Amino acid sequence: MVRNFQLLTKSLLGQWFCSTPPLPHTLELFKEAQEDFPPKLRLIDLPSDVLFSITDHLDTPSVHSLSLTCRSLYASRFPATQRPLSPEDQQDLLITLERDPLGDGFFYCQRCNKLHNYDRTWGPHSESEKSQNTRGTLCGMKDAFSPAGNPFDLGYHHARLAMNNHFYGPQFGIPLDAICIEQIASRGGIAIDCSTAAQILHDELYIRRTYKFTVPENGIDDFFNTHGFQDFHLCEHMPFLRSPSVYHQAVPELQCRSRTALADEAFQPCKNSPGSCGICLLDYDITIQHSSNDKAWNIAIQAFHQLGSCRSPDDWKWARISERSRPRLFGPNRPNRRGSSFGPGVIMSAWLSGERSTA
Amino acid sequence: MAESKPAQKIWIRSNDDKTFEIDRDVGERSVLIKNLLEDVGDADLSEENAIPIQNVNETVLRKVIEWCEHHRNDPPASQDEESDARKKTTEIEEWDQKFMQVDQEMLFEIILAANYLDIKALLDVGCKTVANMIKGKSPEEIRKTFNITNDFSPEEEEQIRRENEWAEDR
Repeated sequence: MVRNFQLLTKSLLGQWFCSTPPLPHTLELFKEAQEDFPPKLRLIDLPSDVLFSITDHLDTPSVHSLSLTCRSLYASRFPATQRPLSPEDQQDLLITLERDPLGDGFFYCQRCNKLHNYDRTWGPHSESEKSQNTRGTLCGMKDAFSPAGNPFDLGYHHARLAMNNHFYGPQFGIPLDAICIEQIASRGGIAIDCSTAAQILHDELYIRRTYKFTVPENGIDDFFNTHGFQDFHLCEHMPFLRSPSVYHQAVPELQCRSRTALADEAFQPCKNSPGSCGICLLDYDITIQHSSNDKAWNIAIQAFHQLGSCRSPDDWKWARISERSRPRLFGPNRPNRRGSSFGPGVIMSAWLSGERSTA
Repeated sequence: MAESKPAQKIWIRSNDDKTFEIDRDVGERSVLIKNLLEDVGDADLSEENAIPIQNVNETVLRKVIEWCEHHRNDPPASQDEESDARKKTTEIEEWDQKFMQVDQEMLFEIILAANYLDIKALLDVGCKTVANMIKGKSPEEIRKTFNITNDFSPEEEEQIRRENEWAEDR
């Protein structure tokens, strides 16, 4: 019957276009078909005054969303869409548009309160991202997990885009793999190998950074000279060696040198010795082994970071980890791990249970 | 104790010729009916001379009467309630929430009937129900909820982004 009705409508339209009056019996059929399938009343069929009454009960971002559904509602020019948006309303609206086809290829930047465009190929150290040099990249560089001396940074925009992919679907953001990359750096004769793995557990982003330091026996002095408290950090609060700052911790397993006299005892060997940061959500374990074949010390650190849901750079879970990019923000009275329920080891244990459940 | 007076009856007729007998105070929830009754003498009220409700069919009118009967003792809306404070809230009392659990077409029919019959409180409940279905949704989610076709061209979408200065590309 529906098909017949469609055919009938088509034939009638054809006849109208030809300016030929339809046959009387065809019109009868058309009337009958209309009675069988009366057009359903839809939202956009409501008169303007009723639509305006509905928008009276809506917050401004929702009125904008409604007006962006189709031409006729956009043309309705609801009063709320005719006024400049407050910064808070603009934020709410743009976060909504970020998950909409209208915002396809864009992500929300809190710093600018605007949408920035991005590319699916983006990620930390992505060549195409660097070459595009967009606003998104520039803002991301200003808000990054980039502790002193740690050359393996992660921009907030990458973390947000990876989480957008999780929350909104595969057509949004960047895949989680995009932030899982291997990178190599060197300091004098010391090679640093860093790989990143990521998991999303309970709608929060976790990353595991694995750092492998190969320290030749004749490079031990270099290691201690180049890894002073102002140099390589696991996070902004966790340099390798002790610092004068009360807010800095140090990795205890790397503090043994003064107690040893011989070069091959420069480090105390250990295996998966755990530790954690008291300020941000970092747990780690460290393994120190001496390789007589390579005549070198191998130091392997697995650092587990919980970055939160990455919905705002001001969320303390992200804000504490990206402390260095926001120097005026840090203070002992800011929300941090000490005031939270995240005891030592919980991040590592969440990571491991996540790995077990996906295995 | 004075004997309570039986409620005065009035008759209203839907556009598909179904006549309903209702109490006058129930009918007077509608400003349209109330004004009509003021213009018509009591002697003219009869089942044969039912008030025609031209834009509302039997099913919808039955629902509207059900609502009016439940709310027959509600105090009339004060001037204050007409203010923005009334409008901005989307809280709906439990009975009304259940009453509005109907398919979308019926919901819109009730809203149109409330608008035609000038029953502000019912119109409000209907509009709030629709507003709650819109709130916090993205344009695409609203389209899916209300079966709206996106008829913007990619060029128009680009123009909307540009005009509103929401995007800052480079």
